[in-house]
Amino acid sequence: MLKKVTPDTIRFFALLLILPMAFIGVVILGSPSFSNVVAHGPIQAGHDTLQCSDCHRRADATVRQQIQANLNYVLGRRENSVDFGYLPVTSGECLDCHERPNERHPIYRFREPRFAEAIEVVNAVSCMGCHAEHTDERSFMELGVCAACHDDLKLVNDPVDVPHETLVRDSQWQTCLGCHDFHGNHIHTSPKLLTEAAPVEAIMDYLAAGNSPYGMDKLYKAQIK
Amino acid sequence: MTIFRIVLVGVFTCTGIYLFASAPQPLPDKTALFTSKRSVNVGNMFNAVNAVNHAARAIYTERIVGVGLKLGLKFGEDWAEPEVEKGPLPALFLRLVASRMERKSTRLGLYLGSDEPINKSNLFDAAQSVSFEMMKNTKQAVVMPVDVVGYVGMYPDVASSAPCVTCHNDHPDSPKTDWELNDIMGATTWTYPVAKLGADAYLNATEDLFQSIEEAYGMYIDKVAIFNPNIEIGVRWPDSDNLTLPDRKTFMAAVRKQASTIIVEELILINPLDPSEKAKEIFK
Repeated sequence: MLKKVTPDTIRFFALLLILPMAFIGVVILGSPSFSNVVAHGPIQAGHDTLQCSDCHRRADATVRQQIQANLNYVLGRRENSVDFGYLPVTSGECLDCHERPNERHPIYRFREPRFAEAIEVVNAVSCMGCHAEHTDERSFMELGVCAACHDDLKLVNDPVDVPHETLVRDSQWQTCLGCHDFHGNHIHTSPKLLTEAAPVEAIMDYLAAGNSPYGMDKLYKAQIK
Repeated sequence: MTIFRIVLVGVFTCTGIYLFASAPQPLPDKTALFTSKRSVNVGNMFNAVNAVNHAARAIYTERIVGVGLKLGLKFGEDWAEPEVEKGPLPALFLRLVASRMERKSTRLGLYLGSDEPINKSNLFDAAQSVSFEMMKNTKQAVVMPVDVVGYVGMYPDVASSAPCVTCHNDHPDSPKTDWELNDIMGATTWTYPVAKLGADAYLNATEDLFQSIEEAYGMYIDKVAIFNPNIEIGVRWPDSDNLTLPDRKTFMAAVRKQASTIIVEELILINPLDPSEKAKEIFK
């Protein structure tokens, strides 16, 4: 004779199934085939061949050690918590592929004390100060950020028809990127006439993942490591 | 529900055994860095890394750039462009070292500045100018706490060899063209977040700097390898008869030898009263 199935019995078996179902879910979602499902947004242009693990690196310890350390932290038995599962993505992961000797604005320079006020305007000590992954834009920088460092710019022999000093005086910061490639990696010569500078719309389109106004040729290609 | 409670207690018991009774080696706490039996002041560490940097710059400037220029080697600001057959100027060599330090675990910052820089982005701000003037008058390093950054050490950059003077006097963008030997042309600035560090962290900092110097020099040597005509790279230094360049190992052996005494002295003979005293010895 069959035993009567009670709500308590159903609840009991449902609870017992939570762990194995969660385990199976983690295994399936953790496989490379499901990376697009797990990612919380689109991948940047040029990053479509990357694997999740190229940027999301496992923390250097066993899960057991990580749980143990974080429990001890919660209980006040150690001063620092530890990363659980994966390390935070930092500029280091970006530089693994994008570091170049001719970088015009290397992030390390902005750690210098004299840039303290500038980095309150733009967090230039990190790639993530202007770029984010899993978004549909190349950069979220605003065109006025150049003012944070270059507001006293004067050139001894200014080659442009409208001098830089005039542009600075009139706060024409939206014109900077029309002539100058921020990272300096495109094979591009800055125009001598302001009318030949890329218009603001073209710059905004580029920052939003459109075509480069500086051409497609680059001095250094990203090194896939 | 009795069975459920038994299972629940069993799960907690097993988890407890898994995490604590048969626990693996606990992860070290970051505070362990400061529990080293020997700790040094940040000023001692600044003295040591500045001695390393000074050795690398002096050797690169005098034995590579100085001798190399006479033998036809070229050095310029555009050295990193792919088709250009040049090497980095000494100031740019320091920049390369600083950029390699960015990739290391030591939170040690290295910067170059001047009150008369060729590149305006290296001009001191108002606060730095005050420290720099003090340093120029006393010829001693200045070590001070700074909000957010932690600690800052400023060391004089002395025109110690002829190439420093001639290049800066001849450069079209140089705001000062009457530099002389032994003038203080600017300052090397170091930053570090805390006032004291353990011996391990001290040695890690110096080793990270050595590695950064080796990587920076390696970038130059990698570039030289594609020069036309070829330049021999090996154990020999360039001299009046031979256009050869030392390989990474040879270059670094010279840098380590020149800096090693001060690294050990700063660790062992700690001078807690005035960590800037050593600067006088370096630049005397």
